[in-house]
Amino acid sequence: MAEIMKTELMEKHTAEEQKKLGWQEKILVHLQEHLYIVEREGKKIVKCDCGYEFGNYKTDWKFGALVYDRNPKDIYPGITGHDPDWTVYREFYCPGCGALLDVEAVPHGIPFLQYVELDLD
Amino acid sequence: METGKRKIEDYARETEGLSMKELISLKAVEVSKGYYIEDMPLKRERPLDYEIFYAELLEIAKNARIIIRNVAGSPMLREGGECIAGIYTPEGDAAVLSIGVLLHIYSMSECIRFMVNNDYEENPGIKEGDFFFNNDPHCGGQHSQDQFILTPVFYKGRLVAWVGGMSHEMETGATGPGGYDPKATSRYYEGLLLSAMKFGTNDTMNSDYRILVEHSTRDATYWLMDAQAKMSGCIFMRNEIKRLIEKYGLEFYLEAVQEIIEDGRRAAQEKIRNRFLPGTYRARGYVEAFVPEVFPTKIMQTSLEMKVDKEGVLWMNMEGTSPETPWCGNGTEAACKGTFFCALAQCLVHDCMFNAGSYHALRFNIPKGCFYSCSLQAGTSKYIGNAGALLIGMLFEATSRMYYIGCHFDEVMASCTATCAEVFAGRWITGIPYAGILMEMICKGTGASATHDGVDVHHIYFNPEGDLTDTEINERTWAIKILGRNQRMDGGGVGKYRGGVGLDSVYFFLNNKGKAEGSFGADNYYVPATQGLMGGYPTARRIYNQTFNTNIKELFDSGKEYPTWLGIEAIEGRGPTLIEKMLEGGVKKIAIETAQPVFPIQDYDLFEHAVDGSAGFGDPLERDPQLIIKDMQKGLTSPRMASEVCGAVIEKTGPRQQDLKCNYEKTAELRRQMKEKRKKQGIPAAEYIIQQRKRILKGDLPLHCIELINSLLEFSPSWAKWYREQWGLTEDFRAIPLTTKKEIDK
Repeated sequence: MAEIMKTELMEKHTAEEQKKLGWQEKILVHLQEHLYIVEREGKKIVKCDCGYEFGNYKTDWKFGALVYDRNPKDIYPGITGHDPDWTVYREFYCPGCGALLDVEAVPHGIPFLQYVELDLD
Repeated sequence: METGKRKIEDYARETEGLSMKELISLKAVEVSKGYYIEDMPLKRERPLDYEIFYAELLEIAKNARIIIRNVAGSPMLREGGECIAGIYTPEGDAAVLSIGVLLHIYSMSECIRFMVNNDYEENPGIKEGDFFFNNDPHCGGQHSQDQFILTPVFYKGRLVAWVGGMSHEMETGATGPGGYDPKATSRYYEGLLLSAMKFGTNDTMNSDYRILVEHSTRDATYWLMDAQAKMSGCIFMRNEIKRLIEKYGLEFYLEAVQEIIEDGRRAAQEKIRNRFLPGTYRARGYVEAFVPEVFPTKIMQTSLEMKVDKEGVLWMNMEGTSPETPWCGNGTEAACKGTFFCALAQCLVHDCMFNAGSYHALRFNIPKGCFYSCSLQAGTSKYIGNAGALLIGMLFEATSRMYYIGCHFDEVMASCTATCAEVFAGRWITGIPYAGILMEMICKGTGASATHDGVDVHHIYFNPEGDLTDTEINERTWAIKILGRNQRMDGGGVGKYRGGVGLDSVYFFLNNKGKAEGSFGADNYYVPATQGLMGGYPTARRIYNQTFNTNIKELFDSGKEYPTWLGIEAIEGRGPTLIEKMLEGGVKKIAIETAQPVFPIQDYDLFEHAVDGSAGFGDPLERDPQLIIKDMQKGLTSPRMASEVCGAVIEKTGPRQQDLKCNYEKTAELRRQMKEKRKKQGIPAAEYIIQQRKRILKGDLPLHCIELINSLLEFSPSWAKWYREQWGLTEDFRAIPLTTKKEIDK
């Protein structure tokens, strides 16, 4: 398996996270809040800090999440919220711990967007 | 030329006697090989002289901007700092730039090339003391309000540089005041557009140009005063460049400028290569196209795919962006590229030697016909306020993900919303005309970081050194009085770290002779212009309120309380705004659409504009209760937001606003329950996709969403393919059916 290009800062941070989380799997990348790309049995997968595993890192982790269409006015009520007939706050939760991993504020009918697709191989 | 064997004087010798056209062709060949110049003998052999020279050159540009800002007449420049100065090579590449409106590094380069490609060297000729003016976005710049001037620098008869100054002007003689009319459907509504025109000779503004501006705009004062200021800045730069050439020698100067640009390219690529993991980073956003009384609001999508390759080159792809529309928010390709640089100068190459070199680390795919690559006829006056600002926010968002993965957490900054403008024209009671853009909204909050909240009422994307204009200056410039300026409660995107909030401003008109006129053009009303990061939310909606013929004067006369902000009941969604509560009679329009065509105004008509801030970062249930308390004490977070969105139980300990404490036990329990609720209400993504697919096939989506999606399916085959794959639609799917509610129910 090819070695991932990591800076000194990344090495230091992932080593600290490795210690904190106490995982057997090696942390390769801290992908975003709560989510890591780790190496397990020669495969790279996305894993939440609660331990929930989302699958292959090439596939958008959102396909492994729980999804909820929130009315924008739940967050910003009355005149302060955007129009629920035009837009939806599509929330993605970790099925393991319920952490809010992402909010896509999009018109109805727009697909999920994979924000990051790393080239680690 | 072999690397390592090049001499300092070679460049001057090789390019002697070449026309500007030949210089541009020569440079294009080198850039196509991946570098600006291959070798850097000056930096190698005389590194200290090189660094000192760079510092001196940069200081010239910075000082020129200070001159422009101080000589200028308009509050937008003097107070808001909306200007920039730059020094360019003879072929039009930026070597150094002052801080300021960073959009225009590319604008002025584009304009120089436009003049060369149109044979300006022969007609009208380019010589010492000539000044060229441009505010046509097809020749550089973003919209008609972006006005820049350029003058060549000759040394002993040889063209050695261009120097330029740019400012943002408040009146251009458009069909609406302020250079902007929400009803514009083409450039022919957008006033005086002068396409790289020679307007000065022998360092003097031509009289025919001055008369043209005076006769074609409502109030030419600031346009002309600021043009003089920019000429002063340019003459200063020209003289200083000659002083530098005398000091260092011509060969040194010409070589040094080339190396500075190459240094900029190398620094940018090195930073990208060393800090970011190769891969593809994406963002998308939405703006609303609107032409009141012509067509109803429709949603436009901007797609951005940013690929980082192993060499440190950034490949920008905008496939999946909506097509051009007949409104005033389209952008030219030159404007779009300027927008890219503006964002990257702030979020990527801010610690490099940023100039045209960093630009050479970028590659673009801006599809022809999309609304960032519009036709000559298209309206563009609101481009940077809407589509351009959105794109800048998306670039911040995409680079923030790169920084996060690279563990540079403090460099993360969620997206900031677009800007907006209240534009007015009228006559003072003395009969003197006024016209322009009220810059109350210029300072917004910055986006949340991964380590801290955004800064409140502080920043505007296109000018990182922008400033909120003084109340007193505004009241002197327009016949208005400002009643209240408050940091807007709950205005920034909520999250673990919240976005900076915008301004809630209330003002009324006074001392007008007869009726004034105004219009209002802002960004999104129905859909958010920002995206939260990693669990953070977008910003609240911008709110614009108008009142006409109310009893506000009686309130002043009787010493009663008057509205100065939205009021907490409106913010928490449990009551009316203070305007509705306190004002009586007349007409009150609350939270109206943010695109308003020209309307009449008279004394005591009152307006409120509560600007949204920037997006949030991270899960709000992870927000530190102490940060929430601090915000509540300052009036930036409402009790509802604290408990219902952030899950914090904050208790009062006394009568004062500061008397608050967190009940940590109850907060932990509330947050646990809220997370459990999420797990119950969320459905697995696979199931969600099946549900959505059914809705798409039935046409069970709001009409404006169907129109957006169908236009993209038709316009962009690659986006259409991706769309079908994401929802599991068959290859023959071409469009979402337009069905009635009755048919859907059946």
